[in-house]
Amino acid sequence: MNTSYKKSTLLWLITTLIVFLVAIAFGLTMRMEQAEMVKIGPLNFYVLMTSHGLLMAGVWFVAGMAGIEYILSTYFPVPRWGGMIAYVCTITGVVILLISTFLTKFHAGWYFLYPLPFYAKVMESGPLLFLVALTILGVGWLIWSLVLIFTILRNFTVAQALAWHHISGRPGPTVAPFILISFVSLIGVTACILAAVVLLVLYYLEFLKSGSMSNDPLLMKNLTFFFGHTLVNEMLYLGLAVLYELFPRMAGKPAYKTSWYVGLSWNATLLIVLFAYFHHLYMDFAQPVAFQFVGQIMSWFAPLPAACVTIFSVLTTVYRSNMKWSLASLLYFFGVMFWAIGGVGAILDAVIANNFVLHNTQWVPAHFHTYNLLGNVFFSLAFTSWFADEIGNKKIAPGLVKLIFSLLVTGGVGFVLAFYLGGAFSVPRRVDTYNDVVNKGVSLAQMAVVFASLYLVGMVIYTFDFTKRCARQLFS
Amino acid sequence: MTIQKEVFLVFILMFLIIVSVFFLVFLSSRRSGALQNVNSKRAIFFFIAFGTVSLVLGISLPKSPYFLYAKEAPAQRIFVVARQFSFTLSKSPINSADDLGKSAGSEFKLPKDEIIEFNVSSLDVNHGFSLYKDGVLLAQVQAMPGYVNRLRWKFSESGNYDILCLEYCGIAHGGMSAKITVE
Repeated sequence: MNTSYKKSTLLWLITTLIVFLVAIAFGLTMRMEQAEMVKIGPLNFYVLMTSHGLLMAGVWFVAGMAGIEYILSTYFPVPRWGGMIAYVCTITGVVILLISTFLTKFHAGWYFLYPLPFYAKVMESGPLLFLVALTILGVGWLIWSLVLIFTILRNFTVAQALAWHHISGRPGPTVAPFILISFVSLIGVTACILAAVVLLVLYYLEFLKSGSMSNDPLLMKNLTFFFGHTLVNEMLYLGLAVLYELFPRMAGKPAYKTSWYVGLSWNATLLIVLFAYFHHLYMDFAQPVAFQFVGQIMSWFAPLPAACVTIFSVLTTVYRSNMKWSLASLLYFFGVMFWAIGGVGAILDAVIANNFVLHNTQWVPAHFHTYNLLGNVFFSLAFTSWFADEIGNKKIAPGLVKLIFSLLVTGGVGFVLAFYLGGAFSVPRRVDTYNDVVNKGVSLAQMAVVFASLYLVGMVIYTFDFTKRCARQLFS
Repeated sequence: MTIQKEVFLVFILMFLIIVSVFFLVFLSSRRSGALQNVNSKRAIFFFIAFGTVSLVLGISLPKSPYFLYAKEAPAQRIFVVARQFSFTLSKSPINSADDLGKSAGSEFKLPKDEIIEFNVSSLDVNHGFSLYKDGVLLAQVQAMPGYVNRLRWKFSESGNYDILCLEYCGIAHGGMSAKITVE
């Protein structure tokens, strides 16, 4: 393989790990404020909340994309300029984003629910800088997605890339699950970025009218969650595509094949995932009830194809495999476990009758932190660990594997458990301090601070070790 | 037991089942020997999951809050308007900031065991209108500008209820609240 692929992937991964540490520190500070251990005030709390959410969503999206690009380049030549434009746009976008939040104190939250950006500002330039940052990120990521899609389409037709011949049993080229899942996920990514483009254009038009409300709040909310929910969902699938490629190798098993049910599952996922976002609007009773029902039905059927097939495949791969475990394979295996657990938390919340008493409580960050912090992040760290073993001069020390894995799992589980308990005790999310009605939130935040600190220590050690083993390759 | 705690217990049960399965499979990886009849086991796994999903949907969808007391006439309509960072409740419609003078302030008295229809809207950004009793969230609906969300509710207990904003709405979101007394 061309070393430029390795270098650019390495650059993405080092950038991702550093930004992740910064974003964890933001989140930890927020929990410390809620735990009454520090006093930063509501404005700084919401500035951190906005920055934390966007950095986390962005950083693990690009980590997933970097993994896809690297593995895809082992199949076909991938044009370099897509990833390079995305990298420049990501760095530029993140810098402008942090200027908008920390310097102009823009604090509308990562999904900037309309029309809050026109209210949650301290300086007039705040919302504009924020929108410019998102536009730059969106343009870079859209170009990257399209480059990867067209790389696949230079080698397969759309029908082949969707593995329709594997489903129907007709003859055709072999399409690896990695190609199928990447293609399905990249289509979803493109769809949600296009929704973000529409959303941003509507914001710009309103901004030009000096913020006099001219858009429909329900339409804007639908666009916001179509973009936000789908992006977060698809970035999980980007990680899974790489898992399908690497995990059987780690277990010493033959590569996974695209059987008819794998093909059917991911084609179903392509459609189902686009409609699950309706569950974010259950408490908007003005939304047609049919959409709400579609939201619950799709949210409950969504795990069937992708999750059931993946979970079953991973379990049967490991069962009596006599495999030698590495940090990468541990992270993949238990990442799938936590993804499943987070999925249970998610579908319980996706029951409309449950959502009536769980929506916007800490149950929400509980489940999404489970499948992100312990699922998606584990998938990307598994790829990162595998990649380090591929290009690094030395393997990671066995003692360090146990230490890092124990810290991440203990810290992560304790951290999300505090959120689940918060949901069970009706503690609201996204508040800087807890009033007397929901004061159980304080002690739960203290618990979260302890466990988040363990997770942070684990990530610091991981990042230090990864950088020490691989950074030299950047300049070789 | 509250719905939230029931959901939490179901979650913990599922957590334990999933962790047990993964851990047993992890322990089995020390040995050799592939799983037999993988296809039939996968089919059983899938159909159990499909059946569970269909059952849950069939039972839970009709319990959605949109149908609460839908076939009965409400005894009272209460108009709720949220704005940064307070709630205003009134027995007459509030269409603009000019109507806020008709309201009864942020404390309100309502009867027990009668169906109340809350007509909830916002004058600025999205807010959340939620009813808490003794720290337990009982019901909620979003307050969205330009739309009216109608929530029907019957208070079965007398006493003080807290209204909290549950949708992030800006810097003082955490302090946005009101009270209802039911008697």
